[in-house]
Amino acid sequence: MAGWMAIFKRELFSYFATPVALVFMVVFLVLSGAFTFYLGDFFLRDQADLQSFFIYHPWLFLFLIPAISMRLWAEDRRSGTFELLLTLPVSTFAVVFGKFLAAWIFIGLTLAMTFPIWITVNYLGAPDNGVILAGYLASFLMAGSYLSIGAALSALTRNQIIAFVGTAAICFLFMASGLPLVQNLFFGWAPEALVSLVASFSFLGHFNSILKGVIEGRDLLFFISLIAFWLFVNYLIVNLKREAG
Amino acid sequence: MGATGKRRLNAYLQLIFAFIIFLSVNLFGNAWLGPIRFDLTGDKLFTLNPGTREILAGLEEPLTLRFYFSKGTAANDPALFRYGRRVQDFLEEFEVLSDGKIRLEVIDPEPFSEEREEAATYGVQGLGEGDQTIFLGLVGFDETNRLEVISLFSEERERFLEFDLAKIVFLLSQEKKPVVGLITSLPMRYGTGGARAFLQGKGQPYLIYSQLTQLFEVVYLEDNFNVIPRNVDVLLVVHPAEMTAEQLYEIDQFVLGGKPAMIFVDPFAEITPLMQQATGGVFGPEISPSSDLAALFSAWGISYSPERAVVDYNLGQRVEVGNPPQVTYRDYIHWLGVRKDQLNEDNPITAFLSVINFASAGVLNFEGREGLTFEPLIETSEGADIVAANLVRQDIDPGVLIQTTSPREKYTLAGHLSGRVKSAFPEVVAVNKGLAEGNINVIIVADADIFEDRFWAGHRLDSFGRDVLVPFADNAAFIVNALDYLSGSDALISLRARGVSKRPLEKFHDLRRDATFQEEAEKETLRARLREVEASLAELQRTTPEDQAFSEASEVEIQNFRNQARTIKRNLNQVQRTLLQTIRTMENRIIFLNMFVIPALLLLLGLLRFGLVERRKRS
Repeated sequence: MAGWMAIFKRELFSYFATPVALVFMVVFLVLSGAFTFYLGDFFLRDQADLQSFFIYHPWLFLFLIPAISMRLWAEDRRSGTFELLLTLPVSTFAVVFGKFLAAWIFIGLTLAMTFPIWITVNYLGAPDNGVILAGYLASFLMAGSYLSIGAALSALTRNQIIAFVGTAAICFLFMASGLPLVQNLFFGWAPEALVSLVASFSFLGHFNSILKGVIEGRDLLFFISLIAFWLFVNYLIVNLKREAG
Repeated sequence: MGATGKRRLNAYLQLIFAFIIFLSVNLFGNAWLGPIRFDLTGDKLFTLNPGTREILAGLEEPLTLRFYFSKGTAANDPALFRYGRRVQDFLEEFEVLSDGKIRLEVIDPEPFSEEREEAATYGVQGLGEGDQTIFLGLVGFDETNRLEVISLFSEERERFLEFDLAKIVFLLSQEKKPVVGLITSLPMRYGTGGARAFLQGKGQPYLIYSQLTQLFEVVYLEDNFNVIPRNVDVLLVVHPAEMTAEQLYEIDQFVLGGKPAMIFVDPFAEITPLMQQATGGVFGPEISPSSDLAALFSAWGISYSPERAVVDYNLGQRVEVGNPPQVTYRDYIHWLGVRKDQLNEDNPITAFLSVINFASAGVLNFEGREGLTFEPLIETSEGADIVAANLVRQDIDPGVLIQTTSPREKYTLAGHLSGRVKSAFPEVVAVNKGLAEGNINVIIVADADIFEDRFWAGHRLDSFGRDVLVPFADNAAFIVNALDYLSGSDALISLRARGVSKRPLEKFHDLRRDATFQEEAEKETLRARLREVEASLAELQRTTPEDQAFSEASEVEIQNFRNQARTIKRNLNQVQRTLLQTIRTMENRIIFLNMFVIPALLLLLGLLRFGLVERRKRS
C-alpha cells in the first residue's frame, strides 16, 4: 500500500496542469448556481437553507463525475503511461487508491468553491449551519460513490465514451434503486430481506436522509462500503490487465 | 485452463466474494447501526429530548409496544420505508433507555395472516389494498391490557414523532384516566331540552361530551359547587354561569397550584334562544347569553369583553336560509370557519387540524406581563373587525353587520397562557393561607359554541341506513387535543414540536417592512395635510364673510391640497417601485456573485497560467 501518497500528489497536481479540470469546475459552479436560483426557486422559497442548492447535486454529478472519472485510467492507457505506472515499485492498490483520492479531493475542492452560497444564506437570514454542513458532507460522499464506480469502469475500457455512458448508467441505477420502478421488478418473488436491501441501496435515500441534518451510522456505512467495494473492483481489473501485460 | 484463464476465474471469485461482503456489511449495518446517529441540526431534532428520557427512566411497570411495519410492501415506497425505519429506530432507543421496562415487538403482518387481522382489530390502519396493504402503526399495552394506539404514522407528523411516541408511553405509565372537572352552564349532558327532555328520551348529550367521557373521567361540578375535588387533573370551564367570589377563588387556587385548565367564554351562546324555545323558558335552566371570568382574566393580563364580538370578512360562513324550494344563502360573517392559515402550525394541538367552526366569538388580548407568555393558537384572518355583541345576539339579518369602510385586522380567538402569575384574590389568600402566586398553564378560547354539535357535525345515513354523526370540522379534535396536551406531564409538554420555527430570508423581509413604514409615513403626511386644509377652510369661512371671496380663497386652498395629494400618491408609488427595484437588484447581484464571480476568477487564473506556459514554450 506504500507509495499511494506519491501517486495521490502526482494525480492531484496533474488536474491543474490541464485546462480540462478548470472547465469542469466552471461548469459545475455555473450549473449549480443556475439550478439553485432558477430551478430551485431559491428566492421564492424564502427559506434560509440550502435545500434548493443540494437537491440537484445527485443529478449534476450524474453527468459531471463520469466526465472526470472516464479519463482516470483511459488517459494513462492512451498516452502509454499505464504501463509505466505499473512498473513503479508501488502496489496496484496504492495506484488505485491514490488516483481515486486525488479525484475525490479535486471534487471536494470544487464543492468548496461554492462557498459564496453559504455566505449568501448567512447574509440573508439565519440558517441552521449544522444542516448545511451535513448537506456538504452528503454531497461529498455521493460524489465519492459516483467516482469509485466511474474509476472502475474507466479501468475496464480504453474508450472514454463507453466509460462515461457506463458510469452514468450504473450511477443512475443506484440512484433509482429505491424507486417503485425498480422495486416492482423484485416484488413478489424475491425474499423480503432482498427487497428492502435493494431499497436501502438507493443513493437518493441516503443522500436525502443526511440532507435533513442527521448522519446515520448506516448512511455512512453504505457510502464507505460502496466506495470500498468499487475500489476493490477497480483493483481487480487493473491487476488483471497488469498481469496480462 | 491457461494462466490467464485461472487468473480471470480467480478475479471473478474475488469479485463475488467482495460483493457478498458488501451486502452483508450493509445488512448488518441496517440491523444494528440504527442508534448511531450524528445529529448536526441546531435544534437537535433527531436526538431524544431530556423530557422523553425522563418519562422512560421513570417507568415503573413493564409495557409492551407492538410496532406493525409492513417492511416488504413498504419497500415499494422508499420515503415511507425510511420513515418506518426511523420510527423503529426511535422505538429501539426507547427500549434501551427504559431499562428493560419496555418490550418492543416488531411485526411485519403478512397478507391474510392472523397478525394482520389482529392489527386491524386494534385499529391499526392499512394503507392501500389487498396484498399491497402497508401497516405502519403502533399498539401499546400495559400489564392490565390497557391499550394505546397510533393507527398510522404519517410522515407529515415526523416533527411530532417523538412527542407522539412519548405520549403513548406516558399514557400507559399512568395508573388511571386523567380526571377532567367540568364546569358549564351548557346542557352538555342532556342536550338542548335539559334534563327533563333527556329523561323523556328527547335529548342527546353533546357529541363532544360523549367523546370526553370515553377518554377522560369527567367529574361534573354543579352550578353551586363549593370546592373543586382534589382528584381533578384538568379543569374544563365552558360558558360558566355567573360565579360567586368563592368559586372563582377555587379556580384561581386550582391553576396556581400548577394544574392545567381550559376555559371557554363567549359573548353569545347561540344555544340560548333555542333553549328558550325548547323549554318555553319554564323548565330548563336559565342560560345567560354571555359569559366572562373577568376577575381571573385581569389577574392574568388577558383582556376580553363579553360585549365585543368578532366578524371576519374572509372566514364568514355561507348559511342556507329558508326551506326548499325557497332556499337562499346568507353570509354570516359572525360565524367563522377558521382554516389552516389561522391555526398555529407550531403547536401540536392545532398543527394538524384543518378547520374549526366558531359562532359569534369574542376576542382575546394579552396585555403582556413579565414571566407570562401567551401563545395564540387560533386567530382570525387579517379581514376581521369588532362589532357590539348586542348586534349578534338579536335575530337579525346578518347583512347589517357588514361595514364596508371599517378598518380590518387580525384578532386572537384562542391561546395558551403559561408562566408565573399572582393570585387574583390576595386578601382571601392572606386569610386562608392560600397560594399567593404560581405557574399557570391555561388555554383560553373566546367561544363556547364550538361545543355544539350543529356547528361541526352533521347527521348522515351510513351504508347500513344507520343515522350517524359525521364531523365536518375539527372542533372535537381541537378540544380533545388540548385536553390531552394539558393533562400530559411537564416532560411531555417540553416535548412539543421543536425546531419547527421557520427561517425566512430576513433581509428581504426587512426591506419590505421598511418600505411599509415609509409608506405609512407618507400617508400620515397626507392625513396631516388634510387636517390642515380643513382647519384653514374653517378659518377662511370664519374670517371671510363674503361668499365670493370665500369661494375663491377656498378654491385656491383646495387646489393646493389636490396638488399635494397627487405628489404624495406619486411618492407612494415611488416607494413601491423602489422596493421592487431594490429587491430585484439585490437578487440579481446575489445570483451574479454566486454564479459568475468564482468561475470568472478561475478562468482568469487559468488564462494566466496556461497563457504563461504557452508564451514560455514559444520563447
